[in-house]
Amino acid sequence: MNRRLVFLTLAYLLLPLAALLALTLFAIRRIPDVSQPHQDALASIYNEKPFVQHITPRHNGFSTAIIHLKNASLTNTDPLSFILSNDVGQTLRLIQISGRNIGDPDSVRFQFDPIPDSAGKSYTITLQTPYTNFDQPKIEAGVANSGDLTYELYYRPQSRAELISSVLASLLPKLSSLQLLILLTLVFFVSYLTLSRKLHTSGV
Amino acid sequence: MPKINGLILGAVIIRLFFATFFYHPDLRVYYFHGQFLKTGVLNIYSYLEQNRASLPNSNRFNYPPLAYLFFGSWYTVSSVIAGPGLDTWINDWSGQDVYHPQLFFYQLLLKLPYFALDLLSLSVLLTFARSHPQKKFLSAAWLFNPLTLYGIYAVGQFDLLPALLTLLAAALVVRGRLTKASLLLVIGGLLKTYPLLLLPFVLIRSKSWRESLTILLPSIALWLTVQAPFFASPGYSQSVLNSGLANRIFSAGLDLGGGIVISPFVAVYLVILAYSFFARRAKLNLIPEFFAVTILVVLLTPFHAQWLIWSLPFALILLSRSPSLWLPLTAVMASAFGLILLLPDIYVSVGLLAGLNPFLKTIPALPPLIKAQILLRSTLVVTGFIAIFKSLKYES
Repeated sequence: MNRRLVFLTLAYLLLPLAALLALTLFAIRRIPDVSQPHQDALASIYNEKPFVQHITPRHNGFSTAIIHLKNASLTNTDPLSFILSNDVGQTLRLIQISGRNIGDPDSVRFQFDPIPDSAGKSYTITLQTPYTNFDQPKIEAGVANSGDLTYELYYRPQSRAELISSVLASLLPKLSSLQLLILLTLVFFVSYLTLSRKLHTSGV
Repeated sequence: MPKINGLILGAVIIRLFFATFFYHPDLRVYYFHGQFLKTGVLNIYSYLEQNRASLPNSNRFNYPPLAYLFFGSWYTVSSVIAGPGLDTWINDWSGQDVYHPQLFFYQLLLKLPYFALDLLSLSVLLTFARSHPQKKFLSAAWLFNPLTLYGIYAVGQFDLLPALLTLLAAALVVRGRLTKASLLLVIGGLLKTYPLLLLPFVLIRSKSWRESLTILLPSIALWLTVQAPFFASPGYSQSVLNSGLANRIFSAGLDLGGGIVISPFVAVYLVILAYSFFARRAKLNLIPEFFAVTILVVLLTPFHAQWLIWSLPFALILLSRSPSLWLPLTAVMASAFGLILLLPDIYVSVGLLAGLNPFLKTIPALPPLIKAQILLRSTLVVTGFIAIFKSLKYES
């Protein structure tokens, strides 16, 4: 094979793998933890009715919550507070954003300093809009039929070793599929033979 | 023949690598819609309108009816091969699909038709070669160009199917079979709209108005036969007739003042058509025209990455005949790729590796880099027009 094509083949195979390795090691800041992905309805948030959700992260380093909010027609411009408290009601993290930063609808990211020992502990997320009255346009939160908030939690890996082991735990079962191996082998031989025949008959 | 074996080995391995390990959610959207064919749904447009609230994915099916048949047919075969797990995976829109242990198997299985289309395209492409070196060039260029690997095997788009039909149509025009060529373009237009833009170039090759009609009427009849049953369907006009292509062609307007707006695409398209009619009408080689129109869409509209595949076979044929096109075509490809990678969508770059590492989905998309986009778009337009002019001049 032409040297340039050998080089090209290796580049096509190795560059994505190098990018994967570099991105995994240096670009990932958070990893999905627990989530409640179902959204069946919307719950209004106003001064007399904050939204309260109890959560229990699975990993240490809890650092981000993505919450599905809706600011209908972008009319609400009041502040919204995200309060994270522990099981004795002590506020651990407080983030305030404006209604101007909430879309219709929007997955709003609340990112804070990681909580190092969060694994298995109970926390409470409270969403408050203290300046929004009942009769004003309100921010709404996505909720499931069970009444639980629609959310995704993320954690910051405590070390590169933990990160790589999490990636491998997800990757290895996908690579060890017997059906994949059979299909790869079949497609390889059929493609190789078809292409080989085609190029020979075309006189290439 | 060790040289050829090495070339084939490399080509097959990189295809398997891209098809298996690269992830893009669009592939799942197509087959999510396609799955309804095996349950007996023939009119996907009205089915989606009526059931959108209860479906796990609310996307419209934005392609003409044959595209639904294509995805539906292959999904039916795939679900027999893969078993019920495929249905579960295709209907899981919770974001957990990239963690599925059979992800790579399903991706490869669903992309299998692309292998066949890819090899067929190469076969047709080789019929345009006029010499042994041209054959060698076309084989290597087709098998190792990054566009095919990116657009078809990594992103999983089906644009190779209409591209193959347009290439076949060009091959038929060379043999003087204008009616068959126009029918193939219509079939292509029943998968994606753009092959219909090439139809006038075939029609103006006819020797008389009567011949034009004998070419046009079967084409219109075919188009209407397939499309008409859906005209009254709710969602059809919004999904298909107001397609991304039609909107993008007309959304890019040039304001001449006084409320007068012209579409640069339409204007240049008409210039190419007029040139083809007055200067090249007797020539049955439509490769420069087909290249010009398909690349024009990329130059003058906010294009999708896979649209580059429309002009790829024609660009390679022209390149095999006229090496002076190397520079402008390389610049076109590089600037177009640059524009694609600057899109605020992680699935044009980093997200494609999410099957290998799902945590990459958490990396935020690039912020808009307006100056870089302007620079790349300007390079794209200028070098694209140089390539169009050079190819029309050379082939004339």
